[in-house]
Amino acid sequence: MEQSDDKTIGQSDNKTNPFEPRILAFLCNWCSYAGADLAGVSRFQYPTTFRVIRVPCSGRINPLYIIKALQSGFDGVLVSGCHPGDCHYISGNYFARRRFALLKKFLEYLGIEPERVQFSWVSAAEGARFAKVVKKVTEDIKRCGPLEYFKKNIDSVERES
Amino acid sequence: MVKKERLGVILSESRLPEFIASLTETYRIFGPSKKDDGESFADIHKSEELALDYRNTKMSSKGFFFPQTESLMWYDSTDKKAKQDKPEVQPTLLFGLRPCDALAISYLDKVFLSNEPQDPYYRQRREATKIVCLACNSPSPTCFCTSVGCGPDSENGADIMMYKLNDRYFMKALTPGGEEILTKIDAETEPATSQDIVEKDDLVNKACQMMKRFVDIDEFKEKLDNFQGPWWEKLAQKCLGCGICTYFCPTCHCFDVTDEVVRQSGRRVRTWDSCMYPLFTLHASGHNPRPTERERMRQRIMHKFNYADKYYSSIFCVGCGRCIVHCPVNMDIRQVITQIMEER
Amino acid sequence: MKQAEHEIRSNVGKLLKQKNIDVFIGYEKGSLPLRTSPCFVSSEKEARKLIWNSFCTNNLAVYLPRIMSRVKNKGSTRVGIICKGCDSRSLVELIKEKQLARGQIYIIGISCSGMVDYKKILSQVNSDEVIGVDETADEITVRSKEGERVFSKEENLCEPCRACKHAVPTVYDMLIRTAQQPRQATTPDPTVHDFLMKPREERWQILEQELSKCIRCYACRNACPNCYCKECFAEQTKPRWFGVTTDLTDIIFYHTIRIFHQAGRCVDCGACIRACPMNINLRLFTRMLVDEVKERFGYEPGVSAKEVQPLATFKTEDRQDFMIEPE
Repeated sequence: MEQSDDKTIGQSDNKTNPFEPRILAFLCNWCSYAGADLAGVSRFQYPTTFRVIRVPCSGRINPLYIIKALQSGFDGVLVSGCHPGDCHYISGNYFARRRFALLKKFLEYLGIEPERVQFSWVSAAEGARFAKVVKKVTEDIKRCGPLEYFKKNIDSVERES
Repeated sequence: MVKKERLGVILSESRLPEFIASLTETYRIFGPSKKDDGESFADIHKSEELALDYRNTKMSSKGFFFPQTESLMWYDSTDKKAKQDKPEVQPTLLFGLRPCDALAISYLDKVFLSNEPQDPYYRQRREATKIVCLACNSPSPTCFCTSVGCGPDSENGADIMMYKLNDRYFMKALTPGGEEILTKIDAETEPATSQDIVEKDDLVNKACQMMKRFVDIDEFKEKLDNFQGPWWEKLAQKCLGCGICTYFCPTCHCFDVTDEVVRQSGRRVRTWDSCMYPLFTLHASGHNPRPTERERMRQRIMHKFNYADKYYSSIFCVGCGRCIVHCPVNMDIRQVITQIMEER
Repeated sequence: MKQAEHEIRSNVGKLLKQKNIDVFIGYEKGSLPLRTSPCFVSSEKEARKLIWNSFCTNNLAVYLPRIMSRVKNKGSTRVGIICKGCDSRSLVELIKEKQLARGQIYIIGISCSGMVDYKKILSQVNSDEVIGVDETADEITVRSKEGERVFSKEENLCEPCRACKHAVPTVYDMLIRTAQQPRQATTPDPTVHDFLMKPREERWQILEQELSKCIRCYACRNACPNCYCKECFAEQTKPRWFGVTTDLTDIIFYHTIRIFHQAGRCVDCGACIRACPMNINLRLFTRMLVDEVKERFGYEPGVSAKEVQPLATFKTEDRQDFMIEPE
């Protein structure tokens, strides 16, 4: 069982930096999740840093979840949906696109590394593309390093008034 | 050690540095210090850090004994034990507290310590702390302590009462704890004379004059016995329900207890809460006995001026005026009281 | 100012007397010099206590959602309100979000030349000595026991007023024009641009520094007309999204989401900033979304009642430059 605060989980790579980021991925059921599944079935190799939450549509993602993920200890978040025009619910991803444009700009403005919260379109047929997205996002967040400044910490600490 | 019956002691202002230095050997001292946004309590290591010529601190001193966020206990599921949080306390001195804040602490003592079981977190901090009050020479326009049973040199809650005379401080011990402190710093002080007493009485009178008593608080308490009074709706109309008054009030003590879990460990934490929030009294069934601002305003005023008196023998307002200063819609408790008194 | 005050009183008195409205929300004299206070008048006599001056800062639209949600007779209740430019824009957005119907409100619009921030004045005087305040077109005179001090209104404006482009209300039933010219900002607001010039780590540091003052009182939320949710995300318990503590991470969580909830809705009225008792520079963060929405979607809240809110709609050709394209 992993230690709650140990960053060196999984296999360390050959380089000197053993940091393996933990990334939360919200994948829309109809396109991106199917694309991820295809990547697996096709035996594409990609880093094991993603933890996936399957959602019906990228438009379902509340910015609250993304902030909560960062606070819970994830080093980064990816939200992936269907390409514009292909949304199973017709227009969910269009709303998501607007919402995430603002959210990404806002988080960047506040001082969170822009690489930590990313958005992509991956269709059900794009297994290879999904693998590429995972690789890219993992590399980006590895460069950023572990997210320490926003994590919730409840170790017993004397609080002064 | 022969206990002398003394009037008090005098500390010359020029000896304040040595006085503080002497006290820091035994106590951790918190006192008013100038910050960007007014004065607030800070760790004092030298007397230069003190800003004793202040009206009052922004936030009240209740946070010393009843912190806004307090971890009560925590667990780590790897060793399957829950541990109670014990605040690490060392002997502390609250130096230069205003009498209204000290009185408020004596009220909070009643809430947290007068019934069984006593609150262990509060008690530990309280027992380790002594209070040196600084009486007021010039109240603010928002101060109204004399109308609510307090005063510029009200003694309840204080171990030592300090008065700023021209170039010196007059101090007298009010409790054995205060005596202990004065004995420790005996070297820095001289005995007070009756002339000092006259001067300090004069200052106190002047301060009282600046605050006109605007209500007979006993009459107001009685008037509030009318729970269904028709005045509440109109009074509460402009209230935003923001909770600022409760957070700045030195006697407000409502709290919430929540559990937080982060991966394998968790903690139970106590945080300040406010009766002015709609969810404060929301029942699991969905019923809310205080659904609008009217009921919540009524609750707040009645708790402070009527229920507290019945339960703790004191009204829970010390006239510090913080609620007046910070309310975004200028809800003035003095006006509220006056308007209620004027209604039939 | 005096003329406007007189007009307000007589018009409101008339409206109430003729029973065109049931209650009017306006401003009255505060209990302290430099303060005003929202007041609810329901008779011609009470209307005489209404005032108008450069300290009438509160956004009165904040009371409307809760009044409207509680009236028994939605069809016949009419509420009157006085609106500056910013307040009227809040109102328009509230109408769009169906928190009130246009027909239920009688709006007395008043053109505004900028409100003075009483906290700025207080920080420059010994606040405990102030006896009274007078004002002219450009100056505020503070009278104290020690004499008089004069302050320039321009130097002590509320920050959002500096950037205001809508000093004349965008919606009203009746407009009162004050003697002063309504404000019209000619230069773009530098707040967001200046902040973005700083390196990333410094921006986060400033965020932490400002927000560490927060005491989770929720005054910013309660003063905001847009925050009318019966159950706020911050107080939701099923699920509990984040802690109620004053841990910095919880504070940042609350502000980030609350401000993001205003995306496309915030009119930069300044109510949240003025309400904050700890004087947090919230505008540094709130203004960003106002500018971004304008730049990205060409939308300004509260100007047109017909324009759909940007997050409630989409265009197939919306920019997606922010998304990743793996090589």
